[in-house]
Order: sequence, then structure tokens, then C-alpha cells
Amino acid sequence: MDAFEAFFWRYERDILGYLWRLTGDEQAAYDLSQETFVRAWQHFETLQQYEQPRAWLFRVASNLGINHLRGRSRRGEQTAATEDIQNIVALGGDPAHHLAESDAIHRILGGLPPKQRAAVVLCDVYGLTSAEAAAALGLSHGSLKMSLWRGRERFRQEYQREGGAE
Amino acid sequence: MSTDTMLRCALGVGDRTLSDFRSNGLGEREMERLRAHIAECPACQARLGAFEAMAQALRAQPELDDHARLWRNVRASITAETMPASARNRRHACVGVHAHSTRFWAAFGSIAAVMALAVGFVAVFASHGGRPPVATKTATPIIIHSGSLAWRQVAVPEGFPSNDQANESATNTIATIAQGDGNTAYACQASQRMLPAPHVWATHNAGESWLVITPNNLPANTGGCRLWIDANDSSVLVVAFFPIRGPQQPALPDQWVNYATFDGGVTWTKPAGLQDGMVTELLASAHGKIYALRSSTLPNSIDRIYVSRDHMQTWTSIDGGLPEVPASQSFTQAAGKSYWMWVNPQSGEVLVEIVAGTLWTTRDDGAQWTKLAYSNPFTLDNVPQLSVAWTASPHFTICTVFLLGQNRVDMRLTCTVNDGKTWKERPILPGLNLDYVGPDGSIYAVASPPISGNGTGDAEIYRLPPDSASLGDWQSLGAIPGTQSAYGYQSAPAGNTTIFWAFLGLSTTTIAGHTTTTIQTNYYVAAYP
Repeated sequence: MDAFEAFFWRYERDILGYLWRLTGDEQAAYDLSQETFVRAWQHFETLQQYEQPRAWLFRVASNLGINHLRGRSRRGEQTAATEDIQNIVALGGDPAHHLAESDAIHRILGGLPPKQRAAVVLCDVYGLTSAEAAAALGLSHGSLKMSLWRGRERFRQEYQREGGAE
Repeated sequence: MSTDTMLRCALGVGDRTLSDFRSNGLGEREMERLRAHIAECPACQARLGAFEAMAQALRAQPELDDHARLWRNVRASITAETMPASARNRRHACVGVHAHSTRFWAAFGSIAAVMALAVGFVAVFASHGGRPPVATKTATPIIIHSGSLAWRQVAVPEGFPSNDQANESATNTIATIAQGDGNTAYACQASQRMLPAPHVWATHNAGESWLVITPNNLPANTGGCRLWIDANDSSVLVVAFFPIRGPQQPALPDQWVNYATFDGGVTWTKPAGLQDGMVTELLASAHGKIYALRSSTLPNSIDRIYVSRDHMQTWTSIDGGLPEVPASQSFTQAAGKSYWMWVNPQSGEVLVEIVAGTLWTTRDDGAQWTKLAYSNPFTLDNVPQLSVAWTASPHFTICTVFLLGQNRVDMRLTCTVNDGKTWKERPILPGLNLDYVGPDGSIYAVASPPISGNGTGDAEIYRLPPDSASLGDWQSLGAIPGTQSAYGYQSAPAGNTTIFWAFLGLSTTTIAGHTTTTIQTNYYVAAYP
């Protein structure tokens, strides 16, 4: 358990943050992160041999996150708004500005199709190469690059419309 | 700043290319070329700056911070799982730490329930030794009929350096399988650190044994090699030998020395038509001619399709009648004409997928090209998956998978055997990726992770028998060995059989103050039926 706990603390911020950005749903982010690490526990013996266990974790988290979004889409639910801001760690500076900015980013990100959203977050937040992100999302490299570019382009346009990056 | 109002790049480098560059998604040669260009180009620097500003905004998003809660729940779950089953069930009932999972499986179950109704059969979620930990809900009601592939580990060529993590030779550490003959594969290695001299190997019995077929009198400065096998004639092979400029950096193709064999490596020539700085991407022969998809090293060059009637001594372009597609209308994000090519060995028909995603065919070496009609419309970022049988029949068997619906999760598989005049719909299970059309018309697909599992595990191969019309006819052929850490997987016909190859790259870690990672190449082969 000690080794697994060390493993958990090493990677949980990445996985929780990824699923938070991917789902836009705080409860789902916690729940799916929990599921990801339970699966990691189930495969821990093998996982310890991997050169890049983080890639494995991102892959499992992506599958869970995208399945969750598909299920939500089929049930007609909308992306959750950023409501429970008390549990969000506020950044320095003007909290109101940060929260408004954060809400806008959340909304824009939530407007992207799931795989575009996942591609953008994996590459631009967590620094995966496009080949690594393709593996995490089970896409061909070409499809991933197209999703990534489309996602970046759409995010940029919406972000500018919201007044960001001026 | 809007990229629309930015300076324009003198070379016309577009945002798509810069997006690929930013995520290390281009070939090494292209990365290097762009790196040099960007250092001198204010327009490209500004566009990359806009990408980075966007990424910074994403990274600056506030994070969730109840990490202790997450750990408590994870620990409770895995503690529950390691308990005896009777105690585990009681604990789940009492603590309910997996309430989320019920929601997850319910979502999955709702999709599956729709599937079950459509298919007309129901199954019970199979518990895998109590996993996932809350298998208390009946879900995943899709039965995948089990077939089986008997994988066997086969030989790696003697002397083949299985450990080439640095990839210093710019040579793939796996074999290349003949697309028309799954029993034949070739491998080459020219790493000066790994081998005293370059080697080329061949197997004609699916890896049971390998022969050394290295050409004589290779250039002294060779450090890397690449090879291409004729898709229709497995005895035709081209190997390029080249110097290495740095890790994974082959010299430019004008320094490559290309050898060709037309008898499986018994004899070799250096055809004049290959020593021209062109890179051959694909070869396929028919009716005594050899067709090639080739690209040039010149700036802004485009892929071209050529035919040679004199054993590669001279080449003639046949793509004059194909449209040249600008980068803005290309799904490869690069201007050009052709993306992939198939040549029917029986009829000589040449089929080309162009970079705009459409299919074109010619039966008179390009005098007239005909555009094939797809069964569905598509958009540039949703080009259909495509698979074409390499088998000998008057017409190609072409199968496509379109992703439809708002989130593109609805799949439609259609096939044609008459150059797109009519398309026949076939059943397709969600989550499958079209892989290969077999000699008998069977359709093979791969899912990673397996669609019948719990979201993890090695990729699985699935088969739809010829003329099957029901989703229930899809059968699982089992997992591909080690695909979670494998280099790759390939399938090819061999008579009426399909041969599957898996290339397993195992990572091993040595803990003794240092972490050392090695990659060991192993080959596994299976045949079906």
C-alpha cells in the first residue's frame, strides 16, 4: 500500500485536473479520478514496470471521461457550470477576475467536442506530444492532430470573443 | 492578438502546421526545417505565441483541491476490494464509496441497453473476479462471441539489435510485413553502435527463420536504413541506406543510396530512377509495371504517383489528372495530391485516396481519373476510416466507416465491390476501428481498449464473417499480446489465411540508484483461421 500511496500522490493532481477540465463537472472529476486509481491499483504490479505509468493513467482517465461525456450527451445533460467555487483554489490577484476568467475558459472548453477537448488539455496543459495524446485517446496520429488543431482553433476564436488574450 | 491580423509568413506556413509543430507532431526532418524557419520568421513566432497564450490560460485555471478526500475514497475502495467477497459486499452496501461508479455504469449501461435492443439479445455482465469493484449492477449487455487466435512468439533475426531505444540509426526496430503476403517480412538495421555492418533480413515463413540478404558493397558511412516492400509482390523490395547526422536524423534523401531487389534479396541493383533525392513511400506492382507513391525533398514539394516500366530505372508521373489540393482543404494539413494508393494486381486498376479525402481510380495509368462516390458525406475533420482489400479480384473491396451524429459516436460501415456504384451497409459495433478486409471478404477491426472489457487491457481483434448482416455476428479473436506497451500490430493475407503480427516493446526498469529503461523487440504471430 505504501508504494501505491506514493504512486497516487505522484500522479493524482494530473489526473484530477485533467478530468476536471475534460468533464467540467467537479463531482465527476473526483468520481472518475477515483475509478482511475482503483484500476491502477488493480494493475499496479504491471504498472510499476511501465516506463510511463502517467500515459497509462491518462489513457484510462480519457476512456472514463469521454464515456462519461457520451453518457451525459445521450441523456441530454449540459456541461455543468462552475458552481461550487468555494472548493476551488483561488489564484492570486483579483479573485473576481480570476473566477470570471475561469468560468469563461470552462465554458469555452466545455463547448468543444469531447475528443478535441481532451486533445487540447492533454497537449497544452499536460505537455503530451501529439503521438502520446493519440495513444491516450485511442486515435490515429493524423486524427489526433486534426482534433488538436480544430480544438485549438475553436478555443482561440471563442476565447478572443470572450475578450481573452488581447 | 488575433492570428488573422498577424504578419503573414513568407513561406505560407499555416496554423495547422504550427499546431503540429508545437506538439512535436511532424517528422523529424520537417521539425528541423520548421525550427530553423521559425527562428527567422516573426509571423510564425507570433502565431506560436498565440498558441502559448491560450495554453497558459488553460493551465491557469483553478484546480480542485480536495486531494485528501480523493485519497480517502481510493483507499476505501481498494481496501474493500482486497477483503473476502462476503465482507466486500457488506462493505459496499454500508459505505457506498462507489456511488459514482453506479452512475458511470448506468451511463454505460444505457448505451449498452440500446445496443441490446437493437441486436436483440441480452447478456449478463460478466464479473471478472469481482472487478470492477462494484459489479453490483447488471450492465454491458453485449455478447461478443469468442474466437481465438493462438499467438506464438517467433524469432527475431539473429544479430538484430532489439535494444535501440535511442533510435540512433533512424531505423525502425521492428520488421516490415509484406502487405500482400503475411508470411513474408523484412527487417534492416544499420546502427554503427549496434552492428559492425548494415544488415537486411528476410523471412518467408512468418518469422520461423530469417535469412541475411544484405546487398554487397554498401557505402562505408551508412548509419541507418529504411525499407519498402511491394504491396502486391513480396519479392520486390527497396532499401535505402544513409548516413546519420544525429539522433534519429537521417541525411537528406539526396545522400541516400537505394537498392532494389526483384527476387526477395537474391540479387540487388541500384536503379538509376531511385537515386534522385526522391523518397519512396509506397510500391505496388501489376501487369509488369511498378507504381510508386513518392515525395521529393524540395521545399513545398507534393506527393506524386509514378509508374515504372523498366524495373525502376525511369519513372513517369500519372497524377496529372488528379486535383492538387491546397493545405486548407487537406486532411493531412499539407498541400498535395495523393495520400495513399492501392493497385489491383489482377486488373491493374490504381485507386488513390487524395489529401482532400476523396477516392479516385484509373485503369489507364492516369489518362482518365474517375472520382468514386462515398456512401456518406464527410467533412475535413471527419474523413472516413478506409480499408481496401489487397486481394486479387477484378474490383477492389473497399470498406469505409463514417462517424455520424453530434458527437460522432454513431458509426456506419459500408462496403463496395463495384468502384462505389453501390455501397452495402454492414453492422459495426461501437468502439471498433476498421483494420483490414481479409481475402474472403471478412472484415477485421481492432478496439483499444476492448469493447467487452472494463475500459482497460490490451487491444482486441474482432472479425465479421463475409456477408454477415447482424451485430451479433461480430466475434472477438482475443487480445493482441502486450499492445499496451507494444510498438505495433499488422495483419496481412497469406492464401486464404490472415496472418497477424504483434511487435512487443517491453520496458524494463532496474532500480539500483538509477532507473534504466530498455526496449526489447519481440515478435508474435497468429494465423486465422
